[in-house]
Amino acid sequence: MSEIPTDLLYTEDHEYLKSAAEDGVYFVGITDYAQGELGDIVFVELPKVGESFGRKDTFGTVEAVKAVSDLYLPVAGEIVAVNNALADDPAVVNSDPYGDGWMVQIRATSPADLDELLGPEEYGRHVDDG
Amino acid sequence: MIWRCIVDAPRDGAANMALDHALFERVQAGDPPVLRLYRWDPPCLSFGRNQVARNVYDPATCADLGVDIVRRPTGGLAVFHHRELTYAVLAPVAGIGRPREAYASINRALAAGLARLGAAVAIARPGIARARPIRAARHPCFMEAAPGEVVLGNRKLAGSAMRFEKRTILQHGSILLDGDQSEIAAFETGPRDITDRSTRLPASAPAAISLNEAIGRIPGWSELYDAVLAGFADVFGITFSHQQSTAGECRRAHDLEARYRSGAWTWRR
Repeated sequence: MSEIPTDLLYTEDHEYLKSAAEDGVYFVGITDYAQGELGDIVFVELPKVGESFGRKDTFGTVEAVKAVSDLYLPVAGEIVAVNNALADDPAVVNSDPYGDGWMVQIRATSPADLDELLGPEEYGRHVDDG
Repeated sequence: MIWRCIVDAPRDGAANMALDHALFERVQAGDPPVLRLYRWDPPCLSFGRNQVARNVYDPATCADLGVDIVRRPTGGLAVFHHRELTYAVLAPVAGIGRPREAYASINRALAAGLARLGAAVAIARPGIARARPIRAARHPCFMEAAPGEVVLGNRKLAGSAMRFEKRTILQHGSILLDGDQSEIAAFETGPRDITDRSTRLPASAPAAISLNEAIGRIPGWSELYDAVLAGFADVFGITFSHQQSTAGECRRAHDLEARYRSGAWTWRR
């Protein structure tokens, strides 16, 4: 059974949004369900600080042994931090997806986008539906 | 369900990757799934999308040896495409399952097809190999079997790589007909004496096995195609509509070739 923290928001593509200390800034990563589905992660390709993306834009890729998958930004925003530790230890995305396995921090530029995300119960039903 | 089956004439690396990419876009847009069977001319060294290739593989050496180079859109490591049958599956997750499930099913289909040719293949179990970091650049695809891949004993007969995008799978791979991929060492930077492995990963018994070694012959193309198609039909419960790529797909592939020929893409890492 995959972990779905109750204080996060989620997308149908299995990314999460988690509030950072600063208002309007959020951590983005992939969910416990996603890391389990992908398997051992061997590489994470991330954007540069300062780049901006629209909601659902591809902001990077994650590779698990053989499969390369796109990462889609849950809400429009500007990248304000990138988790450079993943370059040396991509497996932390598997072991701690909601903590040290965060991928980028974004400053959301369209607060209304948050209304389009899934709450934990809704995401849980989405996972159960396969 | 009916899949399209496209059996292609041999193409060079960029043209093959561009056509896989163009078909991927069509299936993402809702077209039926595709099984494409193809070959390479000239022989080609391909890298995985995120593999470190700069200063690992030598383009001048490859050019001297008449070997083409291309970076795939999929993951994984280096493969030398020469005496092989290449397959590509383009299908939505709704039909084929999510990445790990699809990977397992496709490899079972390949195994079923190869068994029809008399190869005593199995599926590699977890624990046979561990995930290796992309930094291990001199560790080609066929040096080790990942769980779920088609093996004979502990040697890999078919190697595959995947891209998952917009809820659609592109998985393509190589069924070795002859050889053991040892030629890849000659394409690396550094000493060209391929017997000098002092600066490379330890030499060992070949980890790859070809169909020729497995069954003592190389089947003709028709027999190969029929066996692979039968394997997919058995495992997925599908039938095939035999077609060529459409004019629109060929035009899109032609446009995409520029990316796959570019130095910026090929040598991005």
